[in-house]
Amino acid sequence: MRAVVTLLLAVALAACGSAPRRDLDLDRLRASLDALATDPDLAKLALAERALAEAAVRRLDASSVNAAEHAQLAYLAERRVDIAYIAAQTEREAVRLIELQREHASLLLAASRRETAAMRAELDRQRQRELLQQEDALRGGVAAPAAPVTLSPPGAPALAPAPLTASAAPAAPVAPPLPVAPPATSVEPPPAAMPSPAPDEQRPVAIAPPSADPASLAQRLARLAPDADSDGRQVTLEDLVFEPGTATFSADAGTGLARVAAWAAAAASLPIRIEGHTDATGSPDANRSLSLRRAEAVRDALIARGIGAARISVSGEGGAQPVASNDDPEGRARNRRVVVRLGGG
Amino acid sequence: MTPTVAKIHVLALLSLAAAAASGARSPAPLPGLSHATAALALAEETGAATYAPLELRYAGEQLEQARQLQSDGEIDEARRLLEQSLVNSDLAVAKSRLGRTREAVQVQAAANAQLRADADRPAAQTP
Repeated sequence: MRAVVTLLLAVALAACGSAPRRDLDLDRLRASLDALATDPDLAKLALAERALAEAAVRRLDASSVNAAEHAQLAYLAERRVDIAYIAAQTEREAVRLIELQREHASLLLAASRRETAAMRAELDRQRQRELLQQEDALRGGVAAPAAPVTLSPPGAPALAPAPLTASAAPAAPVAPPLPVAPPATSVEPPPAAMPSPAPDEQRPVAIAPPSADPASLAQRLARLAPDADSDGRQVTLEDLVFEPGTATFSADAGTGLARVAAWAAAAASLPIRIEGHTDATGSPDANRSLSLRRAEAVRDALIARGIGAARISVSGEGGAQPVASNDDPEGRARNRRVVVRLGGG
Repeated sequence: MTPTVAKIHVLALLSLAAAAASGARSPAPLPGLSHATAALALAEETGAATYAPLELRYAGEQLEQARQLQSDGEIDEARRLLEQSLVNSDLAVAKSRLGRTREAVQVQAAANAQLRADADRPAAQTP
């Protein structure tokens, strides 16, 4: 009997000494805090609020078995854990907001740069319009009868160049025959080949700025001759040969082109270099493009007039090689030109 | 003891009893009342009525009950409700800050998206 009582006491003691009653609230809140502490996004955020929550959970853990006190502490601890989570999420959102604000600033900066570029482009267009207006103003003048002028390709001094005919220069039916001007070999051209409608027009004439030459474009082109200082190897077409701002020939351009073609045909053995030039107004890229297109237009016109395409090379120099000041309209008009050079280079 | 003296003694005892009773019912100091009141005011200022209306209502009701219990002399229960009011006010403040921050994020994200769309629009129209 005593042994049985002893056994029952031992069992009762063992039961009392077994695992204590689990506090589900405490376990749940601890699990929440552990999850917050191991969350890769939130673990390092809202540390103060997390410390308050941990303290509240510790108070719950240390609370007595008083049910009312336990419920009160669980109520408080649960809300402190909620606050810790929410505070961490708030800090994460705040970080995101800062990133978005930085992105906003960079987007505004990019938009400002685009706006500046658009304003620059508009200014370029405005300058171009002003340029066209100036060209239109310079284009004025009354057409006068064309005067025959001599053009002399180098290396063909003794040969009278073939006069331009309607077939050779269909675009310039009114152009006079082209006698020979001073050749590169310094051989005088035969005087008989030089018609002399007027003494002033017997010698080659370099193209002068439009403002310095009151004659019309057709008149100037009819007197087109190699540049005075080029040894007979270079002819310059003024920009009025083209429609303003384009690579399209003006109505009177055929006269000059026919004379250039005849001049180049007389030196069939020499390569031809065609260079387009502009003034310094506007963007360099646009100027290079326009100068190249104008040079190509002259090339095409010469090919159409029988010049071999293999002889011709073109380039667009833009405003890089001015021959006059870009500070005044006359200088800029001189800089806008197409140079046709015999012998390449 | 004469009857008059006895009456006086009875009256004195009654007065003492009444004084003791009235002293027991006077509001006892309740630490944390001002703190809980300030927390509730902060919750209202941060927009808890919009972002955490339930917690704000709880906090207000618990604070009012705590005051009532304090005046009833139930200090322990009043202190318990005061703690609940305080933690609910703090929770309301936290929720309000989160709500406001999220709204700001949404507004900023929308503004950025609009700027990006504006930046892409001219490029898309360019042939």
